[in-house]
Amino acid sequence: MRIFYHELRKIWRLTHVLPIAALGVLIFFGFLYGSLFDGFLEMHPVRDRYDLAFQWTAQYGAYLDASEYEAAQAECAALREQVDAQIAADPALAAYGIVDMAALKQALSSQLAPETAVNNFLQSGGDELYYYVETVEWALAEYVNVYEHYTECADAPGLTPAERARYREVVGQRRLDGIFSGLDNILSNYQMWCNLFAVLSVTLLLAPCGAQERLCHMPAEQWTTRTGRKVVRYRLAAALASAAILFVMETLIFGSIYTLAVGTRALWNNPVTSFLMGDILWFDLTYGGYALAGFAMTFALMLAAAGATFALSHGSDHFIAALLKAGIPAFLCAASGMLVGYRLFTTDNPLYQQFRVMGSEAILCAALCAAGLLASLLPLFTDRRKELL
Amino acid sequence: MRTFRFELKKLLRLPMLWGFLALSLALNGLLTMTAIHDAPWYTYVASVLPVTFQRTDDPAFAAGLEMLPAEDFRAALAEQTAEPVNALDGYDAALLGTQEAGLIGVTGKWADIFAQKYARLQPIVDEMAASGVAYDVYAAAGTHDYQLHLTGILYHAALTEALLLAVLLTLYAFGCEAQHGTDLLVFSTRAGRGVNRAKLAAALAASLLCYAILCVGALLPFAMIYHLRDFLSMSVSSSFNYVVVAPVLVKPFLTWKPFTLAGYLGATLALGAALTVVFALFAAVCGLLLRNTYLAFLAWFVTAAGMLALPVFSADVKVWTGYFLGMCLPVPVWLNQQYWFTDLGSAAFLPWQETVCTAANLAAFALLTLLALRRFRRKDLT
Amino acid sequence: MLTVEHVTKKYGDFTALEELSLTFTEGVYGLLAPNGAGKTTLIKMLTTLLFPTAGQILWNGTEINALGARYRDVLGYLPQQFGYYKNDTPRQFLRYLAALKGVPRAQTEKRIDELLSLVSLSDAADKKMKKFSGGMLQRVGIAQAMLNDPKLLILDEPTAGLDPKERVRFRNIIHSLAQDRIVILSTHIVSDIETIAHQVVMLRDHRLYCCEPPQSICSGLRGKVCELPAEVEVHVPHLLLGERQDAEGALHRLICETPPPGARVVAPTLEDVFLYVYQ
Repeated sequence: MRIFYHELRKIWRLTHVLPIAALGVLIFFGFLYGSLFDGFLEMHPVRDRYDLAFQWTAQYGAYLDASEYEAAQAECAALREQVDAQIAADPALAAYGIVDMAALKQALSSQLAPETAVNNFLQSGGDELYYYVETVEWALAEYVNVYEHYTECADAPGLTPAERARYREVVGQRRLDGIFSGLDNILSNYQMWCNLFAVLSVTLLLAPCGAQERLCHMPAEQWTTRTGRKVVRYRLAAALASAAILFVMETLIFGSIYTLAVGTRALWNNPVTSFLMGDILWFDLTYGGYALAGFAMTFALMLAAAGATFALSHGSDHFIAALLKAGIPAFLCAASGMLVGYRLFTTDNPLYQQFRVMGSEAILCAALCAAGLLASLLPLFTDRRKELL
Repeated sequence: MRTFRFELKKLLRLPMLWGFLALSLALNGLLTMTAIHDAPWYTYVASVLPVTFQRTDDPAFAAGLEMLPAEDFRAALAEQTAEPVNALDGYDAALLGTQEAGLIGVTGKWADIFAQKYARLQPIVDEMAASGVAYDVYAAAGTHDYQLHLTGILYHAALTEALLLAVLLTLYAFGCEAQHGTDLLVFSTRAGRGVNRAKLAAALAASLLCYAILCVGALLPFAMIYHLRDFLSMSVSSSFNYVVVAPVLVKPFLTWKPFTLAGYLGATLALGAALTVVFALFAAVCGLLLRNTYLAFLAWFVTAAGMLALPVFSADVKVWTGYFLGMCLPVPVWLNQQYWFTDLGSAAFLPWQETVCTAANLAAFALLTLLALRRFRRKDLT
Repeated sequence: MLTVEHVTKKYGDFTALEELSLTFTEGVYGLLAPNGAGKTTLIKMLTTLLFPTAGQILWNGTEINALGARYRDVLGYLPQQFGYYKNDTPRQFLRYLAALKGVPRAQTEKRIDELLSLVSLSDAADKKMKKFSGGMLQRVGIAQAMLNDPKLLILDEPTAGLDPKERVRFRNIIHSLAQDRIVILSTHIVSDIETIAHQVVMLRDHRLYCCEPPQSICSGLRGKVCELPAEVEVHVPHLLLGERQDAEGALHRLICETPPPGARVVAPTLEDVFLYVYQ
């Protein structure tokens, strides 16, 4: 345990940790901040659909059944009347013949909208109810349309048997009744960049370790102790533990920021496959399960990068050689992280589109993890009978 | 000269350098093959050019096409060129400028500066429209993918690999003495700390050599498989070439002067070489200021990440000075390589920005390197 | 007892050591040979860093690689190129090596304090080693070699680069440590061996030349080493060992079967033997 502690101490040098932390800050402010705090989240209709999902979860739970659908319809109709009345009462809009919601919608979608009158109406508080009713009407229509859509999809040509079966299962068992909004470009973007930083951080932390031992001429003293050549096992354990520590820290930090910014924790037990999403996952996962699956894949990639970097650095005489070697698995793992993070487990995922195998993202991560961990064992064998000239 | 040769040998003898080059060339080879399903089309178009010539508005084009044996590709080419379009004729650069500005929401004095760029682009567009370069058939409907594959994917990969090698080789050049414990020996010789000049020269030479190997290794197979030679005289501003800015905004490939593909490639290769030197100088500054090679690398890496993040964050918080000046830094210049010598859309406020900024970065980093060398001369070597 | 039995080490066609047989018991052994004779090869085989091509090395009758950790438990080693972490203090560095050597945690701090005191580094125990002189670093090296109170202490060129005061200090430390353990000291500095070694192992042409007490080795040249004024010409076969200055001028020191006229016979030193054997 003491040796493990000392090896861990050697890895977590402040002069290495601080630049990596700075990198994390840069990646956050450069590529995540905008989409979280100033992007789609503030725009209609994304924000409205998020809000609706929260509201309906609080009102109806994780699913919208038939009776709840009717209740929502009735509520919507009542609110529609209110909006119509609001619009009719606005003289500026009335001057253009816009007297109800249907007319306002038409005006907004045409190039000839009377911009000033419409903007004044929306900016003076008219937007709240208008966009809410618009979103509810859209959601209620989708509740019916998605089943028709996927019934057609199930009969489309060119599908794999698994895809066809999944569509039929989703339609037949009404799996789209779930209430969820949040699997979109914001989450994808976040996952992709977090995966990239995860791989980079573990590579940068571990790349100098093996080379450092050689540069300091330590093997002669280490190998002639009681622990002997087994010291490499402790170093490997420290490397993998470092990957785990980084994973926990990064998940806590970036996960907390995302949750605070987007607030989807309330949807933790909701199924991701939902009529509000329009997209289906290949697996029946709640948002919590989906998030955990994403975390697991991130961790797998970090272990892959850690194992490969450890093995390659161990065989390097100097830092540049270690970086040149470690750059290759880092690139593989980082690229995989970006591919895996984009709309995970959906038909839009690039890996799925290439291989048409459900869960190919998880398979790739598991394969890389296995390869990285296997590679990490190589020094344990090569050091056993190595001669120190 | 002798010292330079020794320093260069030191770098070129790094076994991992050749391993990395080999892997990069293999990766680039794979990237080359990703367009193999389009190869028959490119082969066909290249084969008919001697008969049809290159201008679709020339009656000889259609006539030449008629003379060719009937087949699916001929029918497709005929359909694509049936109504030749001059995409540059009457093209409103100012409107494009407004649309581009609207995409990022630039306001204030920077909006005016941005608009001026497009005002300066208009006469060039008009001139290209008059000369009819947009009628070049290039690879017809496959042009966009061809150009994207060549300069956006393949060359971008080679350039990225070369830049990374330039940084690592330069850091090694300045850090190897401390790592091997020979620094006290080397710096106490007659050459002394002046040996750093030889190291710098060797690092630049090695970086450019790697750049050349990677470019040749990437472009040569592409040229052989996809008949690059047959398309070299085509204008890159052909109507068949375009840039997708956003789902709602597609624009022609508008360069600051008319470029044939040969000219465009030549200019790109030259600018890429200059950028390689910039990156090497950037690493030299880090390597000279920080004796620990790994810390120097971390400092370089974090600074490079900062260069990437600055314009993005500035745009998010609407600080347009930070955004536009940030886009002039070496890393964003590298990132926008696919559209070098074009208007660069919302990423630029100057004509020829990639060229101007690379020259400015070259001067700036050369000066920083000189200052770092001077500082090293008086530094205690413990 | 450490026994080397017919050990040979080859690298391809090159033979670094051939048919070496030795036995080590308590005391100080000086390992003397010119560069490239196989000293470091032998030491690395004794410390399990290299493996013999033929033959075996036994500790109390058991092959050392088979013993593994149990052998390394009794081993203390100071390499020629002593490695250390620049940003560590001696205390931090020794704690790490104590962990590797399996020194119980409860004893570690006390042991470190004792050793730092032994090598006169108590005042610098918490200063970063990157600020240490060469002599201080070597003392840290000796301290780490002694952490596990080894029965077998192997020191490879421990006094290279040390000033005379440091060298004397080092000799005194070694002398005090040698009472109940085997100490193998590999060095070019003959005077170090002369003063503290009770046996000298000499290698020549990759083979064992002799393993005898210094006095016994030197006795082979008794009556053959002489000094005479430098300006005197010598007409008999001789080996010039060196020149020194004294009050009367320059003196040549040489070996010859019969001392020439005017020469003063002097007691042979180990250095004389070294120069004679390895001419």
